[in-house]
Amino acid sequence: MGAIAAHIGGRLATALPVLIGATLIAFLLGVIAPGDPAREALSQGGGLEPSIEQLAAMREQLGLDAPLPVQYAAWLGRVVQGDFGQSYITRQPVAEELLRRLPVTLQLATWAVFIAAFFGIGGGMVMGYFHGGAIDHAGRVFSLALLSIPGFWLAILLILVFAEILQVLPTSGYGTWQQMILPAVVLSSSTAAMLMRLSRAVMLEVMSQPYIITARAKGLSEPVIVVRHALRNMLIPLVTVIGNHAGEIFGGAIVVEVIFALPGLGRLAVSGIFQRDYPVIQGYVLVAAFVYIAFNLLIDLLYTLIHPQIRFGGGIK
Amino acid sequence: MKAMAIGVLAAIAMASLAAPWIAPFDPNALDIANRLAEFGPTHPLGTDHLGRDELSRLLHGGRSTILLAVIATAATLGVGIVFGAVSGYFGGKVDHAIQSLVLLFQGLPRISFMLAIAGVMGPGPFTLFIAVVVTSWADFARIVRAETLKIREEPYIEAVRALGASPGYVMTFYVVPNLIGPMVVLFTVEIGRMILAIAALSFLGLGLQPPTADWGIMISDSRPYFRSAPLLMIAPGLCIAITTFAINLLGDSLRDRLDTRMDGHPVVL
Repeated sequence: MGAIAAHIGGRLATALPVLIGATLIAFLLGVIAPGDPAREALSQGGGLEPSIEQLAAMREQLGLDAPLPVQYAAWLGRVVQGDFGQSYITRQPVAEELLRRLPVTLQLATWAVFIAAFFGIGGGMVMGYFHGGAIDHAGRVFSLALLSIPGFWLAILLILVFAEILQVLPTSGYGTWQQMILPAVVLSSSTAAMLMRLSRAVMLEVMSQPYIITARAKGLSEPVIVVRHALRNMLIPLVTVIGNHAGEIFGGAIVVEVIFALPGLGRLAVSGIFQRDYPVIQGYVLVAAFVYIAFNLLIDLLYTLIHPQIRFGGGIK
Repeated sequence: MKAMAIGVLAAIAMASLAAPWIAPFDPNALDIANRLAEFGPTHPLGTDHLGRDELSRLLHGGRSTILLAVIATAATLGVGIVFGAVSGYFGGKVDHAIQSLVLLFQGLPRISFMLAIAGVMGPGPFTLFIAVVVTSWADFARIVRAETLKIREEPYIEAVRALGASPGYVMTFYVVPNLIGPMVVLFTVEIGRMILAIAALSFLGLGLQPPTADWGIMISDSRPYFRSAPLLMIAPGLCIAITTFAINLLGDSLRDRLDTRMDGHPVVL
């Protein structure tokens, strides 16, 4: 157990600087953003053009005259307390809006990760098991094609086929599980394709190992060999890669949310960009970074559970 | 397969370069009276919702995206080579500092930051370029550093240093030239992803701007008409897919030959 704790502790220690770096970049985005936050604060509720004295007073009040490091510290202090500022457009706290939308994007990303893992690993194992055959060949072309297709285009094609021609799935919206299928499939596509290619390679490697020969010599059936002996050993390299992709899937949700009209974080960020609502963009970046880092830590935890060398106190290379 | 990929890419490059001369119409010439026209002798692939000739727009549509992808990948590679080679060659404190930066940028969700940086600076090709370089250089730097560490131990480097060459000289004339092989592979693998990312951001309105004849923008323009005129949406998407597919095929065969392992972060768009 001590080894696991040490491993997790080490990972937390490397995650913290990344988290601080992310807040620094998010803060700098606010600095380089055009526009004057003091003017934004004063024009609340419309009305008169603020005078120069009013602007100066507001700048003082918001701490905008302080040197950047001081401003950063003050801003970070507010962020830590959950105060992400106020939307320039709606005048509502950004944090509340982000929290309202986070579950939608998380749900979408979770579906996509599971779809990608299921079809990617399953497909790759079948390809690797029958390597050199027709299935393998077709699978390789299919996975490369899937990696080459623009996701936003795939989304519109699937809407055309499944919602317009076959009329079996809804075109857009949020609320039912049917409305999640197309967006999740599109979002999972490139990760599934990548996992197919990777799983095939790993499967080939694993199936030539001595313990597979031993299992066969013991007279175990092929399904038992593939699931109990091959799949288990494949999971270690695959889990890390899925972890890396999970965070990217969260970011990639932007396009899918826009096309399928899902009320998630990505769509909020895109409308924030077009409305020049900089606090919203900053908030989005912070949440995305936090989720990404948290996801990778979670995967690390999973990794320690399935990796015997860590569990039993050895190191990993 | 590889010959086919090169052939397809050559054809796409030729068509894109020659577009102003071979396209039957000006890609931005409006003809509202003839909007959403079917195939015909004048407009072989019909016209879009503003009556612009579809074939001419398709021929022009790859120019901006591919050019921007090439420039952005080259610039990212350049930044990656400088940081990676310096980090790997000098080691010590410099290496430590650069590696901390690499870890930071690799620990962040790439697309989210790309979108935010491009968005805050205002949508457009130049801001997109900056956003792409800022968010992508770390993967390159990490791979270049690993390669440089190998090269640094080679006897010829030792020999040149013994002859009294300065670090700058060794880097420029001995380290960087030996990085070219793996860098060609990296460039090919990355450019496919870059085209997809640029197309997606242009589709969202954050990259290239209308009325540029561009495949991503054409898909976004044709979306409201995809039931009545599906070809307007399908054709530019196929162009992107075929280009990227050919690049990925080529990248796969190059990677197999040079046996360079690189599992960079994917672009999931």
